[in-house]
Amino acid sequence: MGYLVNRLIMTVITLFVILTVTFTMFRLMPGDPSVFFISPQMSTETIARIKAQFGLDQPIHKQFTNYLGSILHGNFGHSFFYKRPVLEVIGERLLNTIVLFLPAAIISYLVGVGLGRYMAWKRGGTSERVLIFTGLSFWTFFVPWLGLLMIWVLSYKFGLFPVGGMITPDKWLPGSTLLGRALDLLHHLVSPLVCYVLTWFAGNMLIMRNSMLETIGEDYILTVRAKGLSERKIRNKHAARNAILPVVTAFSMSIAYSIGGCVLLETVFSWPGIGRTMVDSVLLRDYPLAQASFILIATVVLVANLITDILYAYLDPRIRY
Amino acid sequence: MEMKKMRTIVIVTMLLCFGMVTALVIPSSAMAKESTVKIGLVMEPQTLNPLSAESEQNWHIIKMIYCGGYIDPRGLYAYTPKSLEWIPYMAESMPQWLDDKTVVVKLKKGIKWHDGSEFTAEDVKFTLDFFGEFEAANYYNTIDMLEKVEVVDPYTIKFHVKEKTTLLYYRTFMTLILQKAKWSKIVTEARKNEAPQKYIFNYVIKNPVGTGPFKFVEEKQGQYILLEKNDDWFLKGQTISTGDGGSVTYGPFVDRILFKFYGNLSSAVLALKGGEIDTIWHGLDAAFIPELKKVKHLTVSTKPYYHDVKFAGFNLREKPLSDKMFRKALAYAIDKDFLIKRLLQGYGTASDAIENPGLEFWYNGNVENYFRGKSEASRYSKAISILKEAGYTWDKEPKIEGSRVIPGVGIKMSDGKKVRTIEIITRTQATNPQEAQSAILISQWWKKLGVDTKTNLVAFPTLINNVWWENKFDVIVFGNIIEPYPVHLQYYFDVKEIYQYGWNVMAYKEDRYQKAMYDWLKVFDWDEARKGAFRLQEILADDLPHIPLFVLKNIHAYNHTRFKGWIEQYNGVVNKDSLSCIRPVK
Amino acid sequence: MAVLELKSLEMSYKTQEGTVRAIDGASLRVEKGDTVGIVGESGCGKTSIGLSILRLLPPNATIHGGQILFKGQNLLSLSGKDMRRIRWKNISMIFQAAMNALDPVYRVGDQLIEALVEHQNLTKKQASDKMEAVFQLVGLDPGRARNYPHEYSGGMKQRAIIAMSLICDPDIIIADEATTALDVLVQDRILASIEKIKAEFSMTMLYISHDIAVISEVCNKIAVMYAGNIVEHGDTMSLFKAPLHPYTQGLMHSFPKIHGKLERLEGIPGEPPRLTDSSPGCRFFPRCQQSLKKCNSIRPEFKEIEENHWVACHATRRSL
Ligand SMILES: Nc1ncnc2c1ncn2[C@@H]1O[C@H](COP(=O)(O)OP(=O)(O)OP(=O)(O)O)[C@@H](O)[C@H]1O
Ligand SMILES: [Mg+2]
Repeated sequence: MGYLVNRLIMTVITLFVILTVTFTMFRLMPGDPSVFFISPQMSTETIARIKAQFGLDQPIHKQFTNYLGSILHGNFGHSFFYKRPVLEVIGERLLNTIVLFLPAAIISYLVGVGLGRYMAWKRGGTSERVLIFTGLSFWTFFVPWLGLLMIWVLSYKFGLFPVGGMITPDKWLPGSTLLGRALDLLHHLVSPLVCYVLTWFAGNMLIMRNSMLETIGEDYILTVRAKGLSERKIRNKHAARNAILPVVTAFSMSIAYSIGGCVLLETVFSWPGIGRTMVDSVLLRDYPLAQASFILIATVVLVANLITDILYAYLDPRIRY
Repeated sequence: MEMKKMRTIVIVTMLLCFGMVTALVIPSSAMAKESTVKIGLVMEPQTLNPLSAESEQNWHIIKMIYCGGYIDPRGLYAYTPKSLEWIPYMAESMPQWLDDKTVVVKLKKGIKWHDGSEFTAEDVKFTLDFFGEFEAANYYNTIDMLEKVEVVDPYTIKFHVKEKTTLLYYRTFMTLILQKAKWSKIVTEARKNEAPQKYIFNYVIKNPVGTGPFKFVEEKQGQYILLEKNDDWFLKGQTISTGDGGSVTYGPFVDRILFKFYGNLSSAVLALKGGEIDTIWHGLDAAFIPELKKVKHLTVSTKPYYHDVKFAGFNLREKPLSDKMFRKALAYAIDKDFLIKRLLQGYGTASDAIENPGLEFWYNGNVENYFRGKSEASRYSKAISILKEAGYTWDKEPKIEGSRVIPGVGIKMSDGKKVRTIEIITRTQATNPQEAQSAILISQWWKKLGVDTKTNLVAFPTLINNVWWENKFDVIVFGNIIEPYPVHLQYYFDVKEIYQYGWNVMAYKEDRYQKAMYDWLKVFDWDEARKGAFRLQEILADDLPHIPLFVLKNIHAYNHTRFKGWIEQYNGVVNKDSLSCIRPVK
Repeated sequence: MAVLELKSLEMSYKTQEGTVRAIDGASLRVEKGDTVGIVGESGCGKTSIGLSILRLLPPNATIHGGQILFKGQNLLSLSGKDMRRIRWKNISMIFQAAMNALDPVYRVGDQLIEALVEHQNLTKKQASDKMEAVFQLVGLDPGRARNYPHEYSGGMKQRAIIAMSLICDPDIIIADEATTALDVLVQDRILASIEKIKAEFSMTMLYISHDIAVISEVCNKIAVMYAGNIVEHGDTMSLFKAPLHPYTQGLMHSFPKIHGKLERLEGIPGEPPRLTDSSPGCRFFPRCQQSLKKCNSIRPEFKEIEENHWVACHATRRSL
């Protein structure tokens, strides 16, 4: 319990620091967001009045406290660019991102762990060499290239999957069945998901393999083998179960790391997720949106960390108390 | 092991089968039978609120719903589709001037808003009063020459103006008109709000109501916007002369327009080639032309792009850039043909005047062109002699040896002071590659004259800040908005636009230009107006507050096997008129 | 019929330095109810014998000669699957590294039950009853069965391992240094409970240790191992009274002084040979004070010299 509270307090402090840093960072950059709602032909007074309405005339520290205040009330302000409440901009896109990345992350994790497990077990075979080579090739592949290649082959040449996007509007009109909609969504999901899995499984795979090689040498593995357990049980129930621990830690790190990949993937596959919006918000000096995005990323990373810690404690009885 | 292999093969096969099944077996429901034009956009629109929408992509959608607006000059009046003369649009006839300060406009009867209510003079008055009250940024210029708007009867409006100028036509008479019924509620709420402008600006329009050829159906943020045809459109079935001898008949003849957003141009192009979309409205660049031309079902069209004449503009507030002779020398050093050939791969047209060469009626091709097309040696020797004549000296003078230019070093003004480093500011390579690369090339050319030049590539807000708001810059490489009527000859160069946020960032204030320009604004005769515009372009080419560079070609490609009847206009083949006129190929 | 019998077993490890002939002819008999001790210096191949019996040798090891007979059946000719059935159910093993022999992520009790359900069709209840019974047998509180290995002391872990080795009622238990890592007091207590269990169930054991004192306490028969060979094998009494092999003699000579590790024999000068060297003669020859000429060139046979007393020495035969 104390452990959890501690972690939560740390999380909140980290969030606050990130908030402060992003807030000041954006304001130190040259350029002024009022470019969005001021016309060069307006008089100076008009401009001053409009700026005041957006709170841009106040000194920075005042803007900051105002901002903190409204965040505490759950109000992240209006996006300068999209001209709507930030939460409205983020909400649906975040959901879209989750629809793609949660399954993708889990699958690439499972594939990686599964292959790593297999490789360690069949150490030294050609399959190991082939897997390492392909895994690392995909790993180093630049996501946009791989993505475009996939689109070119699968969507353009063979017409198997849509070029991009998340749904085909035709198939979501009133009157379409739920099954039809679900299939359509899945149909769009396949390529970006496969692209993600291809580029990311190698990391998990190699960590799992190394960790697995270590555990295979442990004495308790010899014991379970002496106990007459089948190879499959030894591998899955004992060796992999112990080897997974470092991989779990790596998982939260890879979540943070893959946010960059998420932006690229969404761009290539025209996935209407949050990644692209976040990057654009920074480029366009859309402070409210950019800040909310940063808080969001920070929260995701911190929550992922928290979950990993909890999961780790659950998986490893040695640190449970 | 064998099991594993089998499983992988099975999974992959299943995936592929799944792809095929979903691609083939579930046919699209309703839309398959109807005709839907699918348009790919690379940047998604921000908002459907016409008060705060600013990007061009955004306007492509809004202008299909409304009539008139920011970059859609079709309000009460419009331009003929090809010859670009003024014609009545939602108005019934051309404006009648009662005296120099009063003009009456009669509206067409029977124009309907999308909700079925009638469009009347009340809507026009409401809209203009509203723009005035809320100082709407994008519409500010529509009301600044108005004194008062008066509704005479539901179809007659009387405008009281400050002066009788052509400004009124291309600003006020072509502006977007909002529906009073819908917006007066919003306005009432805004007035109660402590930040009324902010309230309006951030107002989320969920269901826009206009008088345009298409009605709004549905929006999915970041994914698509769907419009359907407006059978009650006031131009439906009408045949209008294009002004060049031809004519068009308005529909709309297609059932729907689907605007679909792609995260990147390459995917959108693949979607176009694969038939997933019928056209891409914006942003195709020259690199894609060869592969698009190879696709049988596509027609590729290139037109000089009316919207954007690239230029290098000078800050005339300080020496040496305030010296006209110095600017002329710099102009000689620029090789526009090289920019077109190498940078744009031929997909651009050099411009000598601040006007789009594609708008032949207005473009004055006979202004001073600073040895465009001549050899490097002759251009530089001219530039050097001008500088020498004006009293400039060098640490090491640039020289011409045969056809080669030996660069100079350390140019000094006539008072012996060193010319400080000249900075060319422009947008980043990623935002606007043509501008950025032009700036880099130009700085190389100027260096050869011994002028120390560097480029500063910045984000757009930084550019606005440094140039328009703080006026801290030397040279800017940027694009001028060029409208079908040469409006920019006024607002980019008017002395009245010299203030902190003004359009005339160069602080250009030559008397002869100002006088000629004000006279020109009062000319309503089309041919006289043309002569005036030619004279203005001539003066500008001599004074050189701007060095015009080129216009890009607007590259469009569309699927001619699905829809026919596209109308090629000054701004490309994918335009509002095309979409209102195309029919499905049966 | 002997429960377990090794017949001139030979195995080696491939290493970068060369082939390590870790077992170079080892013969041994374990009758039902016997506790046979294998004693020898560190590195002489004791553990390798244990692992060979269960066929749990690492991949770099090969058995290239001899037989391992379990109730008359040669384990070396069994299929992997059949061998798996014999493990733990018929032959269980207490490993030298008992501290890490339990999987850290599972409850100790569950690990015992896992072995049980693998080999016997039991209900959950039956399995956990059996588990509690063996817990009590080795002197562990069955309430601690729900704990994880890291919550156990070293002694408790050792007891848990012993309990685990008992849980399937195997025909024979191989105990490899079952108590060596523990302090003397704990060691004594555990030895006492092993004694008790042995007496109660007439267990058959192969007890491996380099502590001759422990061996003498626990075992009724002893096999003395030197550099991959079993050099002498007989019942404890006769071995102590009249050791025949010069190496055993040296070993016994030093016995009264030691109650602990047999790292090096003070009684015998010199060092054991490197197992990578292969000489045709007796492995002990370089250190032997009673050696004959042929000892250097001919490996002595392992012969039953008295009833149930085998020895491999040219000199011994002559002395008879
Ligand atoms: N996996 C292995 N690979 C290579 N050589 C090995 C391996 N395991 C053991 N050996 C070698 O085989 C010989 C016998 O080792 P073993 O572990 O059987 O000795 P031991 O008698 O059990 O020693 P200790 O009393 O120290 O446990 C030693 O020389 C050792 O170095
Ligand atoms: Mg050992």
